[in-house]
Amino acid sequence: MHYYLIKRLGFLVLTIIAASALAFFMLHAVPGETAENVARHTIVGMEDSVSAEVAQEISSKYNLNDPIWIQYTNWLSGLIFRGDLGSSYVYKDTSVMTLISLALGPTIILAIASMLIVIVVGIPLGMYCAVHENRPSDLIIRGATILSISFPSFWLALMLILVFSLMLNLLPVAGYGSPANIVLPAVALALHPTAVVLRIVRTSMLETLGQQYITFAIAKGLSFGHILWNHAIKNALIPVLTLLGVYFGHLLAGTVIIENIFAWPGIGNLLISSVDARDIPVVTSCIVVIVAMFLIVNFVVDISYHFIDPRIRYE
Amino acid sequence: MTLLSIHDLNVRFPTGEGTVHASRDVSFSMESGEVLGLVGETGSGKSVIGQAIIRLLPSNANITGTIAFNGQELTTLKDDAMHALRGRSISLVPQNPSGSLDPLLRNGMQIGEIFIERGTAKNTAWEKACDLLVTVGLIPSEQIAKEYPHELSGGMRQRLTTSIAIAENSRLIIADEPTKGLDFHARETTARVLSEIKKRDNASLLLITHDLYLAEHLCDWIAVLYAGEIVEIGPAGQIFNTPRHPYTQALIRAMPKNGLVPLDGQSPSLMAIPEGCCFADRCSCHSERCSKEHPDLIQESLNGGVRCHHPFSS
Repeated sequence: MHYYLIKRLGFLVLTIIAASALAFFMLHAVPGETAENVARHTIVGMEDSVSAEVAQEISSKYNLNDPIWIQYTNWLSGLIFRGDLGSSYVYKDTSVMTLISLALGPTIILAIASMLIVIVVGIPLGMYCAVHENRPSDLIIRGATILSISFPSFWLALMLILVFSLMLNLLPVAGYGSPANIVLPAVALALHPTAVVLRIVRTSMLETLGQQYITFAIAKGLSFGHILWNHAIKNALIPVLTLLGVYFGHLLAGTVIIENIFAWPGIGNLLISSVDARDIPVVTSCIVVIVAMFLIVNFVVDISYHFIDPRIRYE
Repeated sequence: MTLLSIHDLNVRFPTGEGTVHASRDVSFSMESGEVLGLVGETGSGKSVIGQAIIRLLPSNANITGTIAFNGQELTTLKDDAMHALRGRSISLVPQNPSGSLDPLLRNGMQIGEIFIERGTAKNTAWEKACDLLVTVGLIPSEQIAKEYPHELSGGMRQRLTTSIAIAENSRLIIADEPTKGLDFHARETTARVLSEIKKRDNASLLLITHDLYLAEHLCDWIAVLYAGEIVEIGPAGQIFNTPRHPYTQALIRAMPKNGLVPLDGQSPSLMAIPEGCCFADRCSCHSERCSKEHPDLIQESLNGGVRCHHPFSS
């Protein structure tokens, strides 16, 4: 187990470094000078043309004339040795750490809210459909899941705003701050994963209910409720756990479109605006944080199997 | 006292290609404390009879006939009354012990949950489970109880499912292929455990098996099944010493100790049962009558009967 943990953590760190390098070098491969882009976004009056002196000044201030690999190793050593993600080119030298910690809170809150919807709606309804296989209620719910899988989330987001904010006047259109603000983006984000999780839970549950240990449990004289709670649900949820981990990772990675529609100040919004302004330290750091969260969630899921499924014991 | 009495049991499964007639006009009865062996090759409808008794057949099964257990008619019994019988009065030793144990549950809990669900405290249930493990020879029971099914060998899992079947002193234990897939040693142990249970609880045992060696050792009565029907029934000694049906003879000749003589041909499809005797095609002494007229099971005495136009004399 300890060896396994160390190995996995080692891979986790290597993956994060590789992702950061990829992000860093790819941004430099994009056509156009970084210094000019930064100037356009930061200096009033330079939106259209950037003077050579200003560009030179920005370049020398942020060492943009150094070879790319030196710029990258400088950034990386700052992260490794000082826990410092560098300073933003655009936000007046604010530390990237501050920018990310401001954006991470809203993203995590939104991800948890969506995940709660997925778990609270998707799992019980999936179980319900499995137990009522091919009855009208099952068919109706499955039909609804097909619809929610087929509609793109941005369209659903706009429809939600139209109905709940503009027509019914129940919830705010967009913004961040009050609990009411979170409802629409969380629902818009949760619909698709909820539908997928529901269908997987249903399939997994039906497969489990067909297992011989369920038949034998009936032969033992156990009640249907006991069999459902103590045998079927536990076994059926094992494969679902992986799926939940992947979705939670995606939600934590920030959802650019939904954050944009609802003006949610999360990491997706920060990432998009920084890409636009060529704020390379912010973009690279966002990528690092997103990759790290995704990997950590999946790492936790993998480790949890060790405790949930006795057949899986890591050596 | 007659504990179980089955009369004209027919089980049919409708499928896309036709109806599978898995069990045809099966009748037999069992006394308390008796061991009856249902023997026959794979696909002869042995397990279907066991599952029909404990009512675990899939919902598409069409069942006719009567199954009287202790004076109660099981085929028409309400679901909750049937539920009350399972595990307490009728229990099952399942065919595939590995698949029949919940992989997420500790071995002790596989037994203990039966007691817990009926209101026993968790500690007491665990102790009772450990006692049962000792009964079937799973020692050290405390340690085995804490382990999970995947940590046991096939023979140990078999004994674990057997201990579950005897947890509540059932009157009738249906053991479905208890020695399937076991090595010689594990088979011996299973045979010993089953015969001890028979002595201990005075329970009746319905032994469903194609292991004739086991049947010979354990059974008081034997019913030989072929293509879903009983072709011969009688006391075990009589069946093994003076078999009257040609199929029973062939089965006994095919036992390793009797020279492992194989029987040519295959049993008929349960979807297209022949008009005459089902065994006629493979029988060495069949006549024209055999392929035209279906023989009845002739009960010549209290000592059983045979379904053959030309039985060997006893």
